[in-house]
Amino acid sequence: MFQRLLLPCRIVQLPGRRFAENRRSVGRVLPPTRQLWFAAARAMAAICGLLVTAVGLGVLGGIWPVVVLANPHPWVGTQAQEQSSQEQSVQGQLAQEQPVQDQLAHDQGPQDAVERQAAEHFFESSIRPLLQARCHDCHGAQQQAGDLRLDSRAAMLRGGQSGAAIKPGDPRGSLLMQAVHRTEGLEMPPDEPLSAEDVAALERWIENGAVWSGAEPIEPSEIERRSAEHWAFRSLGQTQTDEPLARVIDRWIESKLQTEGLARAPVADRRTLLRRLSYVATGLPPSFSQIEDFCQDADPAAYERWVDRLLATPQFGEHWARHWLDLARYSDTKGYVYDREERFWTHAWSYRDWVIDALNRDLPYDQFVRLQLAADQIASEPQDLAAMGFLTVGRRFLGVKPDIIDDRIDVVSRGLLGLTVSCARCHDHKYDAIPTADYYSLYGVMASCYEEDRSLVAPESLSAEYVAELTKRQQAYSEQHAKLRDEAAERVRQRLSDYLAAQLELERYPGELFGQLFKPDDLLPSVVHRWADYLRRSSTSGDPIFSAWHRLLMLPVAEFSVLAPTVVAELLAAEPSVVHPAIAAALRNGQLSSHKDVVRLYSEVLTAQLAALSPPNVDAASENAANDEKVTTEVENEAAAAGGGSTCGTGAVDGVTTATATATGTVARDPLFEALFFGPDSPCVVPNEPIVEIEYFVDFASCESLWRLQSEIDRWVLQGGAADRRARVLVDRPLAVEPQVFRRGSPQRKGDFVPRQFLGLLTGSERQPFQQGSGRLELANAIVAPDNPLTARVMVNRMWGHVFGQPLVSTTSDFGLRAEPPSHPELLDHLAQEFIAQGWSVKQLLRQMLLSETFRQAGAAAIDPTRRERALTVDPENRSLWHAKPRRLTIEALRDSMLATSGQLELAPAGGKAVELWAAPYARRRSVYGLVDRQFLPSLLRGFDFANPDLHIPWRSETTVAQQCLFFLNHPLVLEQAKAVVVAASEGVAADDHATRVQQLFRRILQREPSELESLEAMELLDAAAAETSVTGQLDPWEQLAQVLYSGNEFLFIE
Amino acid sequence: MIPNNVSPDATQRWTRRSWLQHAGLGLGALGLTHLLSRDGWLAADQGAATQHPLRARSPHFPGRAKRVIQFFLNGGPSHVDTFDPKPALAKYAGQPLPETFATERKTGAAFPSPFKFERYGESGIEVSEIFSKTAQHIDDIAVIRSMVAAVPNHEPSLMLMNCGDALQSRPSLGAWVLYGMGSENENLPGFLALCPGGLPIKDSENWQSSFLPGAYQGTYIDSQHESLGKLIENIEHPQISAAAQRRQLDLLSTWNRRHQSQQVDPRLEARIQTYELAFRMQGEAREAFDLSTETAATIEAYGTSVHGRQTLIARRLIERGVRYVQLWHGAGQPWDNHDQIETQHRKLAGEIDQPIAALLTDLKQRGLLDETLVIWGGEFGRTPTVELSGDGNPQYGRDHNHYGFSVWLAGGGIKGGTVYGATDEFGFRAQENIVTAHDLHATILHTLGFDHTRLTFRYAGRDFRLTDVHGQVLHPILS
Repeated sequence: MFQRLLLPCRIVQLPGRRFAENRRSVGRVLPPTRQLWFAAARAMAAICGLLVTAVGLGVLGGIWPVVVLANPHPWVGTQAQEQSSQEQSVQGQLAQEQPVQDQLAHDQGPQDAVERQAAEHFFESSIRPLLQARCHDCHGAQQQAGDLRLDSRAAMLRGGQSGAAIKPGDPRGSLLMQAVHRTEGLEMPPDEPLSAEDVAALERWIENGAVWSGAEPIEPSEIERRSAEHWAFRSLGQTQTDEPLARVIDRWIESKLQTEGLARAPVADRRTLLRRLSYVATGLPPSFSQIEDFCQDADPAAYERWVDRLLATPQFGEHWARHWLDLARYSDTKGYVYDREERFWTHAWSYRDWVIDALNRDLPYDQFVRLQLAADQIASEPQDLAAMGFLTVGRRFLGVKPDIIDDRIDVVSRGLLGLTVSCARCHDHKYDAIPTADYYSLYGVMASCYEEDRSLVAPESLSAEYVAELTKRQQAYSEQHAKLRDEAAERVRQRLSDYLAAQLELERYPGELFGQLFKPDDLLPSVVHRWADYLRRSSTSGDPIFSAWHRLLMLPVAEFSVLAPTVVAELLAAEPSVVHPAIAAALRNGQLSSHKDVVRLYSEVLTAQLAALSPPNVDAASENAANDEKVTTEVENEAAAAGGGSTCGTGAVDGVTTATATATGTVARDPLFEALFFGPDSPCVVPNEPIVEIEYFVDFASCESLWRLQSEIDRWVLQGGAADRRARVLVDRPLAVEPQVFRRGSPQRKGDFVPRQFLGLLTGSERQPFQQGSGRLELANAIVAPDNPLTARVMVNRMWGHVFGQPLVSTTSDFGLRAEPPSHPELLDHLAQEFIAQGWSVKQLLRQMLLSETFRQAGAAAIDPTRRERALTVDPENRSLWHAKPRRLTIEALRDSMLATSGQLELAPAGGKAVELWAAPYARRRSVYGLVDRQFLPSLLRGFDFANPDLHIPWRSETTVAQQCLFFLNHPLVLEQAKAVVVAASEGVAADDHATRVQQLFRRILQREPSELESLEAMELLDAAAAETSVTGQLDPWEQLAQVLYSGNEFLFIE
Repeated sequence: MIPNNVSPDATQRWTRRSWLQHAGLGLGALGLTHLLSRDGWLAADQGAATQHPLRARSPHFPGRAKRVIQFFLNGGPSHVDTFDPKPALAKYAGQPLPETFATERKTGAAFPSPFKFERYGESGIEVSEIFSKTAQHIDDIAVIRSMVAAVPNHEPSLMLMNCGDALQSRPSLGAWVLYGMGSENENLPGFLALCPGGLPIKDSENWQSSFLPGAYQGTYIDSQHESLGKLIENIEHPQISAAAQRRQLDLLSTWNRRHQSQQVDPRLEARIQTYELAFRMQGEAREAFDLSTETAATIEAYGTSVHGRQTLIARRLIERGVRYVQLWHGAGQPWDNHDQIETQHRKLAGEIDQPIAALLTDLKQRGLLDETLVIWGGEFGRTPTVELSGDGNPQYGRDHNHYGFSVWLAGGGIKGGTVYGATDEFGFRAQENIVTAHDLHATILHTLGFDHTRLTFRYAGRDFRLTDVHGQVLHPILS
């Protein structure tokens, strides 16, 4: 709304970064209380006849200086250009997008391929970087000053309010050239003219047809139009049928097959069927005798009974949890960390067990999701707190927050919604209606939380010795934490002038990635930026302390001494609620001739105020961190009671005049200053949060010492066995962060404020900012709202993929405009509707899929050759499911199957700490309990296409490489299983009864009888092996045979 | 009626010819797509890459280089002590420089290089005495003196240099090359990272495949070992003789063929072939790592130290068609000389100068240098100022410097005897023709025949590339 109001006015054209920053804050949507207040300010502005540009400074009421220049160039916006010394963001994430084919037609470009390539090269090397560096800030994805974009050829041809920006082939006739020549009244870029070389390059480029290379984004209007029609965004509606879902599935499959002139394969034989069912449901093979029973069972309901039986086993959850853990980029370790920090998570395995348990008890999927995002707010059982591992088992990214948060946004958006929101980190999404603003809305939700480690068990149930030592270590940490936080805060207060002065040269203070070993007496960049954030907020919250700061620093350096007296006079005329009397007093006495003078004035006032407050009323400094929660709350309350804090509304202002003495010399205690120096939101105070959140707010030695103490705690927990289950939860901060867009993804380049809210794509015009705390619970609720068109579709598609071997929508985590269309759209919708209608029951839905005839059909070999040949021509990829394709076992199912068939697998007890799987002595637990160490992932796992634990992996790749075969040939684990299965198969069989022993091996490993020929061939191997001189320690002939059976395709591929 | 418990050959006896026909029916017709990432992919041959991920493939255009050997001097070699002479430092010795920049730690006065520089070759490029043997080849080398990284810290800089991004999980350069070109020898891993004594900082992230299939990740070799079993996993079979294993494979093949006749799936054929590959690999790998067939003269030229050995192994590997070999200096970060740089850099350079020189000579003699790209460099350089200890005293070492440093390239497609770019008078900051890791990557890919903007992989809804949205090919250093 504010943005709309702003559009028509182009008025104040003041160069300089101060101005730019304040301008950016204008478009921000405010919390309701402030909106009210702003409405009043706006009304006043309107009455005074002032333009609404003043909204951002509406705090000053009628005293906004009227430096209004009519913009002579209507197609040019008013935005002052901000230059950053760190032009190239190291975190720049935007990848080159694939060109949209139909937009690649270059009407006037050179046709010859070589020439074309040269032209594209010229564009990429000379023109694109120039446009990016000098034009896109105001005429790009973020802003379109004068309705003009210069980030695609189409947009340049279309132009802005003044018409086309370029005429290919005609530099003189191109508005862009007139602007950069600065001769025709247009002067662009506004700050500094382009160099002669750059102008020449642009001229040459236009002369040669303005060839653009690479990706052109889909136009916003086109995205909007296509979004409205996109299958995945359409609302789901209700199902209209009473037909069992399994039948509906078959009907839709049948109907597509018919249109293609195909038919379903016959029903698979019973061995194949039970093996397939067992693997899909539990990741384990049935035993030979179970297959025998099933083959003998004439009851038509026998299959259904097996479905129910398998879904009810604990092995179901163990198997399906692994599918989920792929999505959740699960790992037991943090990835690369510095020495000082324990690299193992204490909570990961509790999260893994929680997922297994949730699936086994068929926790409704909507609740499954809610708990993983906001268990801290809704869990009725403490155990459910473990669910939040979904957000907190990601990599540590060296503690660099924007990347930690990006990882969380990615896992939430792709994992739950099938939307690639992370693409909007640096620029608006090129193919979906996800503006950068929406990315930062979600960013704000995550940034408003801190992570905290909690125990899920009552101390009474733990050994006294364990608890005593743990408490001791925790105390050591807490004491040091309190002490170092206090010291750090005190150091900031002692250096107020330096931190204020640093605000004039923010670009000198790099972001978190730039590691420096800070000494206690160094200025900490993160604290400098904390001050900057605080000041930025204060410019819109109407803080009377800093109103003059903002007004004065906004004045251009060159004209400061000329303009300052007028501004000071206006400030002095303002109410105390607008300009704090202490500031007013200083303004009255001081002479201001530069920005530095402003800093000096503020330094003096703040230092004096601080002195008056020492020791502070709010005894935050001496509070023991053992009462973490209490401290925070107390500070908050007292500050509020005193009417202080930067979050204050008008109430804060009333107290000012009475609390501050106006007499020179003595300064009384003032609640506003108290809040500034000691309040919960104070830029001096290091937040009362675990070291993982505050490591950049303290010096190097403090950081090291706190991490070492934290690691002592972690190590005690880790070596303390599985009794102490931990959770790593996110907790909402007392004050939620109001997110700002990071332009081009760089935290150093803060742009517009945006509200914390859900994606516009899924809420449309009814979107409301989140109200409760960080908004995390509201986010969770929005994701699982029954009218969210994506969540159910995305999840049923994942389930379908794992049941049928291929998903209906092949881009399982991207349901956006570039998604592959579903092979069976109506079926997908029907499944999603039923999923919601049946209370989001995963097991119910799976059950129906497993009961379908489609699931039960045979492989291609069972089809008559002529028909098969035709089907292979029509649908080689089996998208219409005319047969069941073999599926390759994952590395986990492969290992589990070897252990299961050799009799080595131990199914109980379930859960607990992770075990090492790939080094002798070999663990016998299921693979899901194996250690996933993302930093030292065994190459064997990656070689077998295990999901990369650093990334959300929606579907594993499937490659065939020699290292996999070497595993079967030579890995000690395989050899050990070969030995074990021979022992098991020989039990009760006479040593010379070779036929039976061969039969037993086949039964165990492949769950079938050997054919006569196979028996014969097996015997041949045995004989030949026996003829060879045996060497101690080598495999005997039987073991060699067993190894062959394990190595075969029949073992690895399930029909 | 449900057919019960049918064993494969009960219904039909397949002759060799019939299975071939049967398999042939499926193989050509079946699309190979949809096997890789369901998240989507781009090139049509990405599917084929799944079936035979390492099969040699043509790049975008004929590249001058066919393979790469990269010396990675982990820890950050000092450019002002190796390939970027700065006489001005002597003038300011012991005095503060007019302009300095923030690095990881505090540094003090100008610290002239303790090493002598001399001009070498026809090009007359100056090189430090600690690389005097390498310097004999300077006319084959293009030195880039204007590299920059983003921050002065090892971890992000290692990632930037190796994977093109400081923090996010992205495939390494070697993984991209392998993905793009496959390998010319499927019996050996296509991308190997040799590092004696353990892993460098950031571990295997340095050669990760990230969202590319696992087949493209680098294979780590601890080159301090000499026995094959310790060099490559699962390569030895002490529990079974070669003859017995061959018998196993023959039976396996028979059964796999029979099984295949019952199915229509190209993956089965791929796996059958791969078993044969694995079997051959056991022999070939042994041979590749076995230096006993090298002449005494060759071994002497490289030297018998671990670095001499691993450099010679690298030559044997690329000779056998391996695509990318990375030679790390050692576990941790050996080149990170915050103190006593004179003795430490002299020692470290002494360990690799001779092997590098020997490699360049050897490649040239064998006619391989023209098609082998040799890369030398670390994750950043070092400050021209002296590092100060906590009490403010000089340590006689240098801090990390990402504002400017040197790397060099030689061999396939590189214009030797070239200097590209320059740092300022003191070597603190790159000033002329600044080169980013993306530019370096774009150039390396170019020598191999790739347009870096078109070597892409679709993941998470985006077409990712090694160079992100950046990268300029450095044409002036190309021949």
